[in-house]
Amino acid sequence: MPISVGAAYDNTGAMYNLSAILTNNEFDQAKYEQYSPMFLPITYAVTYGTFFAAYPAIVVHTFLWYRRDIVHQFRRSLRDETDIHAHLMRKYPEAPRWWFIALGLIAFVVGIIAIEICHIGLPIWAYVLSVVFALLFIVPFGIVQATTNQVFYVSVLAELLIGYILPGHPIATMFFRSIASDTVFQALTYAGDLKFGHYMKVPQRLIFVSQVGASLISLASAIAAQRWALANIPDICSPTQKDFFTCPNLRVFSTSATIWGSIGPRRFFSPGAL
Amino acid sequence: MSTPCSCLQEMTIRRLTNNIPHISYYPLAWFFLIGAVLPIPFYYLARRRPRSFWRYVHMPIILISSASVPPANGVNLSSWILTGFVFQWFMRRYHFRWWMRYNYLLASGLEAGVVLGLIIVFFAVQLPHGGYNVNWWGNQVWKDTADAKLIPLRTLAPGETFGPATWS
Repeated sequence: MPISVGAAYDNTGAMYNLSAILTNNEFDQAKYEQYSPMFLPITYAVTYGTFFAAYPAIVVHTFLWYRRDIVHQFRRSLRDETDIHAHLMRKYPEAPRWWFIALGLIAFVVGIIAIEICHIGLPIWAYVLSVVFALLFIVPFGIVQATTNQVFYVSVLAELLIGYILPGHPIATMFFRSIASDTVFQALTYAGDLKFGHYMKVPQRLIFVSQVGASLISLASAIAAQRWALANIPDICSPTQKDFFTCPNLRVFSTSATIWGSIGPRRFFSPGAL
Repeated sequence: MSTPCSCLQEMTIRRLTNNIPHISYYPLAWFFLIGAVLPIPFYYLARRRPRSFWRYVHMPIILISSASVPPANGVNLSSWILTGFVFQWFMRRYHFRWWMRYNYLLASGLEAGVVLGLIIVFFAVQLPHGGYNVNWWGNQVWKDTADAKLIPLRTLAPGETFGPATWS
């Protein structure tokens, strides 16, 4: 195995061939036992370690340094701020809290409906868990991002968690990971946009409406573009596609989902694994 | 010839080989605990001496940035460190007013510059006539490293395997 590559290897030193252990996209124990356990190059393995260390470190760091600030800020509103931006922004009515709550509830229900209609194998309790999981990390991640401009993702921890809870379901793993990490990501992007609007003196209600509207438009156009691409580009996402539509990003995404959803974290990180 | 020494060697080898089935990535789970504990000493050091160096130790950042290593390598991090050092330490310390006035603009400028450069390189260099190749040392040097060539420490013979003999 090379020393520093972001790929998995088998026990002959070749790149791990995921399709060798899958039957109909589900994990096949017999094939796995026949083929090989999965090995990670040393820096990749250590990276998983640093990821594991980073999550509790962020939470503990936030608690130690900012616990008073967080409690304080939840009790305050824009009216209590004294700086010039808050003073100028006071002219506009705040977007009421129930707008946000209603939007959250609608999105949540739409999520449940989508899961039920599409039969993706993700139970509703796992969906609720992924949203709760995301909510837990929004404040610590937000503070790290706001003070240091370093963006971090919950995806590794989410995959690990769902890999333990629901082993052997690559598709459900993908959805759990996407819901958890996108919830955090979108929440922080929205908070960042609100702050930008605050400095640029855009009324709060206008920000809300334009964000929701833009989300709907981008949703529709993204789905339309995706459908068109899947229907009209031959061999899309195969590694030999002639116009290089090889989807490297999606392939990494699906590989990691297959690893955690099929082989599963239990075979990697539990005592006595391998 | 069975001297105590060779016997000891044999025992060591046997113990090593016996231990191989127990190799796993399980020790990585300890990183959860390590990560939870790491920020605590620096927090108390910073509380005890508020003006000291310790208040700059931000454990999450250290862990987050080292988590990008396998795709990234030394080169990626060094340009990052250089930029940060020049603008966030040198300029901030010795030209504070410049830093205050222009650092935010500089950040937007660098970001916009990357995107513009991307567009220009794509449309002017890569796209026309199937792409031009510019070959000089600065473009080639990284390809000659063991890292880029994916050279393992030891190459296995065909058919040879490593790791445990059984797994499940």
